[in-house]
Amino acid sequence: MTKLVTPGDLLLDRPVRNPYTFVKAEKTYAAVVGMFDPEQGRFMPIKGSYLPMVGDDVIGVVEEEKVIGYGINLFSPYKGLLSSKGLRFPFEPNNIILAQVSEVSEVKDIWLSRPMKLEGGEIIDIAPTKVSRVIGKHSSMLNVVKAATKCDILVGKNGLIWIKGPNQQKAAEAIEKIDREAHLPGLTDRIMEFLGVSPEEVAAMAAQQPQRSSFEAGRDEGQREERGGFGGRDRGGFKGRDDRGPRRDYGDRGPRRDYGDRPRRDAPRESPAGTGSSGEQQPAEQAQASERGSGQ
Amino acid sequence: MGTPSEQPLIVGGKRLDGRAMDELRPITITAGVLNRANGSAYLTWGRNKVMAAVYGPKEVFPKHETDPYKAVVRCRYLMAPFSTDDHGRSGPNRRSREISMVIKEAFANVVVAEVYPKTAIEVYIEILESHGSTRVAGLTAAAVALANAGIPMRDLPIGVSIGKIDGQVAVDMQKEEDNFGQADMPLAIKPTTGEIVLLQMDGKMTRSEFEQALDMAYAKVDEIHELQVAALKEYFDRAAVMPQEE
Amino acid sequence: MVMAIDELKKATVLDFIKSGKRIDGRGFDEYRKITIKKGAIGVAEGSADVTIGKSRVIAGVKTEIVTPFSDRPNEGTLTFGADFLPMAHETFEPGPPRIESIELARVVDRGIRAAEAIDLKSMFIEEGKVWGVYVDIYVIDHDGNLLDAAAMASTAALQSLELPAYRDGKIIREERSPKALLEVPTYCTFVKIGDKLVLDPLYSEEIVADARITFCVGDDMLYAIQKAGHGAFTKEETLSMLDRSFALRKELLSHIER
Repeated sequence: MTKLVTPGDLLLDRPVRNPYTFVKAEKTYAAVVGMFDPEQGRFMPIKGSYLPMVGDDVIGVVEEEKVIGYGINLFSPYKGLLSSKGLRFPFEPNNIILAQVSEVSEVKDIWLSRPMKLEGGEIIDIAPTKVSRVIGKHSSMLNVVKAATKCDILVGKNGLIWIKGPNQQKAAEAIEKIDREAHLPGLTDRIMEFLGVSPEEVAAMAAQQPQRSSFEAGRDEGQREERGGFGGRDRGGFKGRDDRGPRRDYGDRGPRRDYGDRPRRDAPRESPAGTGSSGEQQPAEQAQASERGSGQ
Repeated sequence: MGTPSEQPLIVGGKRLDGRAMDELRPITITAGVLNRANGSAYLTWGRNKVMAAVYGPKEVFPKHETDPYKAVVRCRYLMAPFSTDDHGRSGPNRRSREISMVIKEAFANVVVAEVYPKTAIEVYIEILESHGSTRVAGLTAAAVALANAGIPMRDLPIGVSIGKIDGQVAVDMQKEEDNFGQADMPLAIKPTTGEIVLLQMDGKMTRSEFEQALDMAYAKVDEIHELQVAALKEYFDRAAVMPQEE
Repeated sequence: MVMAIDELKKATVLDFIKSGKRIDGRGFDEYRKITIKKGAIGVAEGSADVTIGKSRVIAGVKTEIVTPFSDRPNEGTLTFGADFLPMAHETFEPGPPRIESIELARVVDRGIRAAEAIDLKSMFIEEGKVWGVYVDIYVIDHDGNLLDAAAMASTAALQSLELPAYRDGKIIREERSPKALLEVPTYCTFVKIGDKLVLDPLYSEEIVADARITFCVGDDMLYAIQKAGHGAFTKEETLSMLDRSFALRKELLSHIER
């Protein structure tokens, strides 16, 4: 039974470290307001600024040109930086880009790579701590919205979401609804109802969908555990990003991952089981300080 | 402290507003009342009206005040010019700057500043209507605003004042008691540990009256803390149910 | 550079404190050497030049004829100001008052006022005219615990106060008569370093402290408290420091009343 907790509330009798909890005398306490499920050991903070981690996909706005490249506004307390080295095409201020966090320096500069300009569409923002709820286990939630609205949707870990397609407004409303009701059960059903689709229709639409664009297919995998929660942390990494057929030419996407050439798949790709898109299968022990990865 | 009052502050065992010595004025707290701020809370405490808002974590200005290892917590407490009987001047004065500092230090104790290095967390407390013990009312509201903004904290500190009126120790000084009483002691306490993060006093109290005052303050901690928690929960339900206005 | 050395000393100070010692060899409840020179500023109506260890504060008292406050028409006024002079420490820049100097003036004010040390009622001259007493605190050398030094300087300066004569609408400063204090409050400041409570901190102890607290007391009465810093105190710690403040009073009074 999930319950709302406030700063100082005891969560677990063992230490789990992350930005939304604190440890005292080997016990874990909530540091922010959030929903806590004692049985599953999952904690979802309601709000929280985006804390960058290497490998995150983020969406940002090009703000300024610097000598070394570009400053990118990620709507986070920390700025994104994009080196112009190796970029084939320049960006301009106010361009919206999707990029990947390649490095987080000790002073919290967020170095980005593999930028892609997003044209058209619209941007909405949600709390970064709700991002994996929007994506859902094995992208289930996101697929519902995409299939029902026939929109392209890209989700940045920093809470920015890009939507483009015939029913942008509906998709935006659906995602905002997920953001608001993230803590309530039965959300997938309610979203399907809101969008006026049934599970069968969703499956059918998804199967029918034309080949998903490479960047979309590569980027919508929500494998990573919600940032605030413990309940298993996937190390993420680059699952199937470059390996999906003809690549759109958006300029250099930075250092290439060495996956070699892989055959394209037609069906929506399932994340390997247990990579924990929402981490429900994974016990809390796996969440450790080391998950911070980038060395902070 | 004030001049001795011409009128007694305790009549028939009750205070001017009918309260018992260990009774708080009625308190209401509503979280998330402002649209733009990252977190906010509106609090009424007796006839006090307080608005608290939080921005952050955000970039630090001026840049040289940035701490590379943690967020800097800032606080500005201000009384609106229309908040008191006599028109007050706009802007900070020595009293409001001192109060801003002691409240900031209380929050610097509980905010987990290491989570957001190189940022600032700004707390704004505006007293819209002032009727005694505004700094503890402001601190209580600001704690809710910080939690509403998702700022990580180890606790939700509560504020409460104790005083001495007509020779008796009493909790929660309202304006007349503040002005004409014999001692005034604002405090902030952390509910989970019982530690004191804000303490000021002036007036005349014996050692045993002081200890009694501390005990009376501690007796009120849970009551005030529960109101803070309820406000955060109520916001959550409200925000989840109602669609956001564009 | 002195400050750099203080910063470098931080680890040493912490080590000492953890093992129950202080870098200047004092006990946790011991004041440094205190000197008070009353009447240091001849032209002022009261003054005192105080040192606590290497900290030094001069307080000067000037009196003027003022109109009383509307809610206290028969009382003199008492106003405190404090200046942290740039000469006192490398980090003190010229400019508007620092919050620390504002706080210091206000805390010294509150204690002396709450103690009713000065008989303000006897400062009434005639309707609409009372004596205004201005205490200005000049911090000239900073090695920690400016508050106790400033409070002691203010109290000693007020104790040496001699009111000028007032005749035919003019102040005659050459003719002075002493004005006794009704009460002499004493101030004790402690800092908390880790879980240790330490009296009369050096500057190098202040910069490693988590919190600071000052008690202003009389023989049996508490007049003012000010806690500062981001650390926290328990109820027991607070009461224990209050008790120590009462106990230290005798020693402090022996300096002030000399």
